[in-house]
Amino acid sequence: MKKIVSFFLIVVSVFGILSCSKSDEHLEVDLSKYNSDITVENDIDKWLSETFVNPYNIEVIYRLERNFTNVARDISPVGLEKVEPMMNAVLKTFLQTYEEVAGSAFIKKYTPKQFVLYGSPSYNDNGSITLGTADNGRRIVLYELNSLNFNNPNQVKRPIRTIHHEFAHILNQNIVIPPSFEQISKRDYTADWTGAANTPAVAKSLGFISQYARSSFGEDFAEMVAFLLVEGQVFFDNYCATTTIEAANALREKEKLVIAYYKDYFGIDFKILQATVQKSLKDNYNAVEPEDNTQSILNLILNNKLNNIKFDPTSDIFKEHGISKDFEKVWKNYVTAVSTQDSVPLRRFPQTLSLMFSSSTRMVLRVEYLNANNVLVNADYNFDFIIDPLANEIKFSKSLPEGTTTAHNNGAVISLKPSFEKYLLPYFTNRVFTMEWLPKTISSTDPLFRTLGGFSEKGSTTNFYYGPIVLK
Amino acid sequence: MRKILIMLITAAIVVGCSKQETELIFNSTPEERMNQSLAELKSTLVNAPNGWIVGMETGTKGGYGFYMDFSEDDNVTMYSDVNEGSRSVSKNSTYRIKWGTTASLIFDSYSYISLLQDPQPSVAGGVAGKGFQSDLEFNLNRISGDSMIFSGKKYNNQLILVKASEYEKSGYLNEKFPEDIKIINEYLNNGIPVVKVGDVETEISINSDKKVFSLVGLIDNEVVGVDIKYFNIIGESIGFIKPIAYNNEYFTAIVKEESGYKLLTQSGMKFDIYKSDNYILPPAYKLGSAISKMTVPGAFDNSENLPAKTWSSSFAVDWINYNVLAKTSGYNLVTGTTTHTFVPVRNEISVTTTIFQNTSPFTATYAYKYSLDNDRGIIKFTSISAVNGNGGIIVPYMEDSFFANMKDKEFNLSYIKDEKFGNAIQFTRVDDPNYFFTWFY
Repeated sequence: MKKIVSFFLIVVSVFGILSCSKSDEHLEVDLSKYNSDITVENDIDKWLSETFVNPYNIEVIYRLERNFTNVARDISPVGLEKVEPMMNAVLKTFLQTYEEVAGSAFIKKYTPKQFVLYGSPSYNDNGSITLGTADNGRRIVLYELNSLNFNNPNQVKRPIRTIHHEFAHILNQNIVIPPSFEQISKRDYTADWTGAANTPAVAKSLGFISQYARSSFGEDFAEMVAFLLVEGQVFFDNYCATTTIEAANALREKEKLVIAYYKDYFGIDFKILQATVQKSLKDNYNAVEPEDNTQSILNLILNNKLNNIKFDPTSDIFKEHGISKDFEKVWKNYVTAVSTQDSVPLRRFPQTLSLMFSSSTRMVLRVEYLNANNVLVNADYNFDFIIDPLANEIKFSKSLPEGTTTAHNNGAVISLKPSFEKYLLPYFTNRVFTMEWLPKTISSTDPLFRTLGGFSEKGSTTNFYYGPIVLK
Repeated sequence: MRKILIMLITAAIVVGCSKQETELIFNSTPEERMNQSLAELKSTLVNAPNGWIVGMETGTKGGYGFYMDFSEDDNVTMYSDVNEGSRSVSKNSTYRIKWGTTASLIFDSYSYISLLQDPQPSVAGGVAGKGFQSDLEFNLNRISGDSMIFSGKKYNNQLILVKASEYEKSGYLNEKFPEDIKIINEYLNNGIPVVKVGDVETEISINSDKKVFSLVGLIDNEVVGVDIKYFNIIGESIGFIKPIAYNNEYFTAIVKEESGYKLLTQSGMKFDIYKSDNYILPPAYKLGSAISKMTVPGAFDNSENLPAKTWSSSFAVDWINYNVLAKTSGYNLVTGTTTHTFVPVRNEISVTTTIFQNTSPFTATYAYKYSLDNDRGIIKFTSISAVNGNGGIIVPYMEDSFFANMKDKEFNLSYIKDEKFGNAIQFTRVDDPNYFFTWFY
């Protein structure tokens, strides 16, 4: 019986084992036979493999693939001739700059692993266009590449800015933006950033680096990063210098937080990164930094750095560079009126005129003159002024009551005040001036370049007051 | 008993565990069959020795013609009738064959075909975000003989590929294409090209901006018109995206032969295209469209030829009266050329007449209101009114002369040729066939 059972079990086992081994020839998908739709590797593919896949494990998709964008939209593929220039720009101004500053481990870890290129923009329902997106910290999609001229640095900067913008999002997806950033401009974020009300000027006056920055604090942060890196510090300083003080403060505050974010969370010196990106743009695309406009008379006054601008007709400067005819006439009339009064004891002898800036809203006009005893003394008059920084305009007005110093008292005497009120006061208060380096004939190679300046009547090239700029 | 039991169990195990092999209804796996279709499509594309002549329709414009030469390494070389540049300079781009719901052809880098799909209006003039509603991805519908038919994945527009001959290929490569387009456009846009389909004389025309071809004629006394999207083909030819049905024939193309242009039917019949001296459709259908501007010469520079020979003597009397009034009513005027411009949307004829005081010309402007009865071929003038001050001077002279015989009167319209002044439309009063005059075009 046992034998039978054993035999039975052996038979069962043998058949069981044999019957369970199945022929699976046709049941699994044979991937070697599976069709891959791109069949041939061309020169572009080879270059991309060598440059991006091997060192960075980055895939570049340039042949039209709807699945990486909004399938409902009509988006054109990129032209073959744009692929290498675009990806070269990505390499030089993005990957290699981060690699240099933050190390190859950093960029290999955080860089998006897929770049998708499209030739046309992606049109949004509200009429705006999308130039780039970042998905899940892993993919950057770039649009509107067909119209790019890679010999024009300003055109190259646009997609590069997009990449740095999207990369900032990727970093934010790893470590969130500090809450304090959102607080700076919290009330001014708007979903309707494309609305007619949000002009570039309005966005600027509210302390945003671009119109798009108003859409949310996340975009604001990414726009700050992109503009600081790609447009550069000079651009940013100029931008801050030509807006309201409140806006400039907000921008500066955001800049500080961006720098701190990179330092604190990723150990990256943002300023060095910025310099590296700028150098790459210069070396590879002949990008030129904008002229530094922060050292304008406007900013010197706004930042209370200007001490005075003095007109001394005996100085060599005026002999060499001349005097504005209109101003000279006013000055001569004033001097003549004061020095040839009928009453000889009342006669005084004006020598120089100075505009002395005591704050960003106050100015003292000082006349140096020889008194009846031939002693050089001062007559002072207080002025207020209002500056329109966007238009670079200044408007003086007489400040009352007058000051009480000795010099103010001098100015109020009968021998001086009527002539001041007749000639000098109307000259400075009856017109709007623009603040400029003057005279304009001084070229940038002249040693005197940007040492002389003053105020031109708005709209006039012949009527101006100028002198050596003395800083505080 | 035990033996029986063992045998039964053994049998049960053996039978129960034997697995059946998967039976493949089509003899190969789906991916193998996909691969086969893709390979077939690709080899068909690549193995056309002289490339392909391609026609494609767009959603919001007409058709467009291409020459495409596909190579094994996924490259395609293209010419196209889209613009001046694309007609004479070839462009290389990539394509790929991919499986969707069927084998599909994708033009996956930018080329001439992308111009029509490009969502930027600045590129080719399409609508922002939509272009001309054109596709870059096409599903293969069928391969038949020397042609392949695809349909666009998104807009479902047709893409037709027909194998090119060696002669045709060399034409595209040698910049003959732009010249051919120019020649056929000039032929069809000058004069009145017509074709006789059965017993119906039919006007044909192309709108080379919209890329639309039109046939219009009178079938059983009814005006029948059809429009079809067309594309240019080398050899001064044009193809229609879909066969165009007209008077029981299905037209597919216009081809150039030694004896002239022929309209080709699906069944291979050919109809001669020739120029007609006059429009086939009655004048009522042409006023305001093909004929929108008509002139009447004035006494100032044409006194020896006026009254015109194609005017009735009764109208000539009115016309002389009008000129006498102009001369003698205080302003000493002589009338010059009058130009009538039809503005159908307002049922208005806007008119300017040059009037001369001695030799100084001035412009008088005024307007007729009219109503047009297409079916009866009749026009009725309902009013005349001055538009400027000079018009205000001469309109009363007209009201006191010929317009008194025109106002609220019905006129028959007919084509006529004036010996002196050429093509004309003659207006003949319905209630008095002896009163007629002509305007010239």
